[in-house]
Amino acid sequence: MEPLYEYAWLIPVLPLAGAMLLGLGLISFNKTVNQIRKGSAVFIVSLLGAAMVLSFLLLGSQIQGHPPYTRLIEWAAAGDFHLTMGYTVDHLTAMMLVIVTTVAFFVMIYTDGYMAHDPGYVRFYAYLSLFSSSMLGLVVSPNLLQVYVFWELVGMCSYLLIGFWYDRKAAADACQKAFVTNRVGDFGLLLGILALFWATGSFEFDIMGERLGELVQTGALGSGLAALFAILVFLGPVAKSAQVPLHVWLPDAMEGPTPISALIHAATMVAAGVFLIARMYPVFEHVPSAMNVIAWTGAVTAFIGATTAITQNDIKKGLAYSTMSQLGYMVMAMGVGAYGAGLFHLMTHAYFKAMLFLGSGSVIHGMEAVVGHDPTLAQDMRLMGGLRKYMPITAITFLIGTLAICGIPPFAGFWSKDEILGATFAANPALWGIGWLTAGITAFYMFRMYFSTFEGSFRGNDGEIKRQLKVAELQRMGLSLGPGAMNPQELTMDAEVDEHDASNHHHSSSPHESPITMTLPLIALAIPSIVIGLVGTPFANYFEAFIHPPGEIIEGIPSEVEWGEFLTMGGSSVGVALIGITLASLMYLSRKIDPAAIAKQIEPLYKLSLNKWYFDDVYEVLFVQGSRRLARQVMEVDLRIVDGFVNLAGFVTLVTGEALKYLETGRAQFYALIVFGAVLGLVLLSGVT
Amino acid sequence: MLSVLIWVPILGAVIIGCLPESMVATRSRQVALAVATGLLGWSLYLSSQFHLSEPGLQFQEGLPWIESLGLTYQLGVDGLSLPLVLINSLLSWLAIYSSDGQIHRPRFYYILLLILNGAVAGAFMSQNLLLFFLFFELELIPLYLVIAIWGGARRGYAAMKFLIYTAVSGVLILATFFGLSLLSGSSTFDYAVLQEHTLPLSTQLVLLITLLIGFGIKIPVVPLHTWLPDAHVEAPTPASVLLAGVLLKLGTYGMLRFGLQLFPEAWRVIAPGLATLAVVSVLYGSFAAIAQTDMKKIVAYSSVGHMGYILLAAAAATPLSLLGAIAQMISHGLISALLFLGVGAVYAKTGTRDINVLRGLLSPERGLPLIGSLMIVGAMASAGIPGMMGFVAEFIVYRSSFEVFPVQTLLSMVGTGLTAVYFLIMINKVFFGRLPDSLANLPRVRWHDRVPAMIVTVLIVFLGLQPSWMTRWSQTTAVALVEDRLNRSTTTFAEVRSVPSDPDWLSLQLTGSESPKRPIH
Repeated sequence: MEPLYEYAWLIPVLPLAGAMLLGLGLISFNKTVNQIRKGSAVFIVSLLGAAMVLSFLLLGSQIQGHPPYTRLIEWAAAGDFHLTMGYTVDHLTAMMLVIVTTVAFFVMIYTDGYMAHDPGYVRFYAYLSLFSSSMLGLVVSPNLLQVYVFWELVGMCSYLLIGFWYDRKAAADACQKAFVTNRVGDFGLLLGILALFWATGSFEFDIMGERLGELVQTGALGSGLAALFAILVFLGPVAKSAQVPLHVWLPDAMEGPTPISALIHAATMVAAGVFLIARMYPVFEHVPSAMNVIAWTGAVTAFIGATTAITQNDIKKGLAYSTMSQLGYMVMAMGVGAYGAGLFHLMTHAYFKAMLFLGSGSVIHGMEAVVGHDPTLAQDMRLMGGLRKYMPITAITFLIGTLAICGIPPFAGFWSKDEILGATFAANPALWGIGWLTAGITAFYMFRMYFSTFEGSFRGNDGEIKRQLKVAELQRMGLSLGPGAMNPQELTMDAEVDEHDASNHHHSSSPHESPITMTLPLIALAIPSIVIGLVGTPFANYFEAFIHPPGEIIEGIPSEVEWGEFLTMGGSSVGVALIGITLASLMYLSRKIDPAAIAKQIEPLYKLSLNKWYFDDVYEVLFVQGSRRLARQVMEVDLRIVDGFVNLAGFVTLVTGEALKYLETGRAQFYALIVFGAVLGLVLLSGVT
Repeated sequence: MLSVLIWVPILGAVIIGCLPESMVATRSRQVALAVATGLLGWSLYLSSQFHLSEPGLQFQEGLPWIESLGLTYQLGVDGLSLPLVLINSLLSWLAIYSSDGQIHRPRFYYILLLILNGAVAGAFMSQNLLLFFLFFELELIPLYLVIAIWGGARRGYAAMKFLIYTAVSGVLILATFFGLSLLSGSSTFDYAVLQEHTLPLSTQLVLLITLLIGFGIKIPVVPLHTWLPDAHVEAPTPASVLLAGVLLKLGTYGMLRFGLQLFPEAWRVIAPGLATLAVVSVLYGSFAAIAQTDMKKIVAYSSVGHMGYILLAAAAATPLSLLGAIAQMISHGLISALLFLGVGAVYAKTGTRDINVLRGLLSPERGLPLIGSLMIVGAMASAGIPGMMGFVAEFIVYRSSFEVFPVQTLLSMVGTGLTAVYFLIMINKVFFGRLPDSLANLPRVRWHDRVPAMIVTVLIVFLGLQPSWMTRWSQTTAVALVEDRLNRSTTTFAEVRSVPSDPDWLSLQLTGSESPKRPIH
């Protein structure tokens, strides 16, 4: 199978070639390329399809026990400092390759339906392909530096894709926020990389881990310093995987087109943080205090994400907070040393969350037929309801995804979440408590979402709700911008144009099921969402046998069926999920309990959740306004003091005013000569003396 | 060989000057472009003949000139100056190409650009201190006139400020050169001779600080920088490209060539101070950029910040950091050229550079989509996104300076994050959003407007993917620059530092099997 490995570099390069070709085409022959829409789409999808086939072959070969394969080339050399690039294929890489390529493949097919009427259709495919390429490059990276390179590239692609509809102000702001927040994390990551290189002299994961272990053991490197380095590296995943406190960009990133939310902001890029922790495992395992920080960050994120998701009315924002919460689970698992469990959840989550997002896109697509192309209306669950009748396939697949994320056996999410909770309980019962509670909240908000979207009666034609939503949106924009930050006329103008848009597309009074290119990926992704968990059951944990920390040796297929433990752990998490589901059905299906009344009773908590724990507001005051103020002060200093000091303003203007008179009349040549002669004379004169 | 780069542009200027009046309008540009093309070709040919493994000067030329003064006509290039000579030829070509075909008084304009080109090339190649100074002064006249005649509304003020600052800078540099020559008791200004001086440390310090203030104005280092934003804002686009891309590099080049090389012991003493100053420049420039509303000022202040990285790397003065400094000079030259070309295109089409007025220019039908895309590339490159050369240069700088000045490097890295902030704010406001009707129906962007920016973009991406093409020119020289210093210093460089930077450590390779034995705290 060697040729297969020798050509493994094609996996990231194929989509890159596609993106380059389309990109060049768009630059040079914009009109023509924009017209061959289907052709471009088929071209890009088939390139990625080829990469997917290669990935499956590699996974098959790895499962059969092929040893890891690494190929390196020297990328840059400066004196004795060498930077190598290349690719490595091992169990972890093979698994990630398959996840990324399959999800990307289905998302690309789905895109054809979702973006069918968008003028940027071809450009979108080019970006998608570029992103896929960067993400695949990330997972095959053999060293930390290459990870950083692709880490930044996926960040840039995410920026471009969130801002895809750049003429929407919200999207433009969201992509900026995403990029800047990620830069904060990347700053830590780069600093950590430099520090680890300084300490160990290497960018290779295992060499780094080995040497760091040695250094810590011999006491050459203080354990505090080692923990600091590890935590600096961890800052990268904190930003990219939307962990508290750098999670604020992810919900806003939902301004991007829905296929992007599914691919980048649910299944692949945000999971890159977990992947990096897995890759850095050889380093982190020597630093227990850093592992603790990782575990607690994950737990807190899981909890904050879930509690915020309860009150979201935007279907995509709700899913975004749920993603954040699930990523928290994975990070927590990595932190408590449950390496296999964390990656297992990464895999199951990638499939069911991608499907949920694509399902929400299908819902939005259907809603747009009724309320028009306005994200405030089309994505708001208060306008939905009863959609199961109109879009049955979307409803069924969404229900499957919901059951999977809630951890109901035998759906995929149950097995992975249960494994995480089990491992967490063994490590630290307090963490388990948070995780267990979060599981209940998860079930509640997911079913709240399902019930208010697909059950009950359709509310999309209710003019009163629409009006309220529009008013709330205008208020929010005005507030978030602050008085005078933006011309109020522009606001109303934007709104008017939106109204105009809306009336244009106001075709029907009931939503419709999405086209086959959109439902097919939903069905395809539903299959792994149901069954993929079975590879990691406690009875026969094939997954654990395949994916385990580099240092560990696992013989055979672990099957530690301790029925007592499995039943208590599994039972308690299913139990709490069922409580959540029951509550949700009472409140949003049969309406026996009025959610508004409860909200009123616990108003401070309700407000806390509704306002996303006030993270955005605090950051706005602390960082955004703070840095703006600092910047203004610097500018003042620049103008008043530094410049004022040297200005001699009157004198200068006087002299130049006179000089200019001559220059303007065309005698400049003469003056140039004089100035040059004077300088030359000065030199000669000073030289003689 | 090298003289061609100085005298051909001067000759070109003379030819343009002698053109009959009837041909001036059309032919000036063609002659200038032809000369610039030839020079670019010649520089490329020289680079192909350059021996990469040779650390010393190559293509040396020498003629006695005014021997009583110690002024000789001595030229030569090494791995430090060759990339700068190349980028000078390239950006001069771009500047001439991107000049407005309908510019008024074309004859004089192109004459000045050609003189500027020759003078800068001469400064980079001079191996005689006085000769360097002559070229250094010669360069400022054409630029002064270009700003003063073809500049914006406040051109008189900006040009005069530029002239005064640069003249002061020249005086300080000249004073240092004279001081060095007199105090070391030699009657010559020959670089190679003066390098062997044995002045006491205190004298060296005085001379070095004077010299650094001189070059610090040119770089510019905060707080000597205020001439730069004004000059940039008022200068026409081609002049901005040259100013940011090439002329600022004269400052950093001079700092490395004449500061670090002539005063190694004193350099070691003030290096921590220089690194701190670099941090101040980086942060100050970045924060000032955030507060600006004029696109050109944003790019200008970003230059202040990014030149700070070069200063940081120069202060660290390890072989790798010097390589990083050179790489950052090239990278900043190209990236700021791209950004200025983009800003210039926006200004030419919309008539404003105010980010609060501009909006939605990325619109494919009626906006400037290609210019917008290239500006995004420029912003990303400037913010250090891999795949473009900004990342490579900044990474080498950080990686090498971190070992010597960890705290300063850390603070400088914040600057990279801030770069993302101010450029994204600019992109967000200018290119994103809905195109207002007041900006619709912009004049069409022709291929002519796009070509320069596209050439630079291709180079930025290519060198980002293939950094060896950039670093290989300077690798040998960068090592030689430091080893030279080590040999002449009484104590070795590494002993002075409390942090690890010994050669042993540097040679630790990725594949190396030895693990560090030194305690690290």
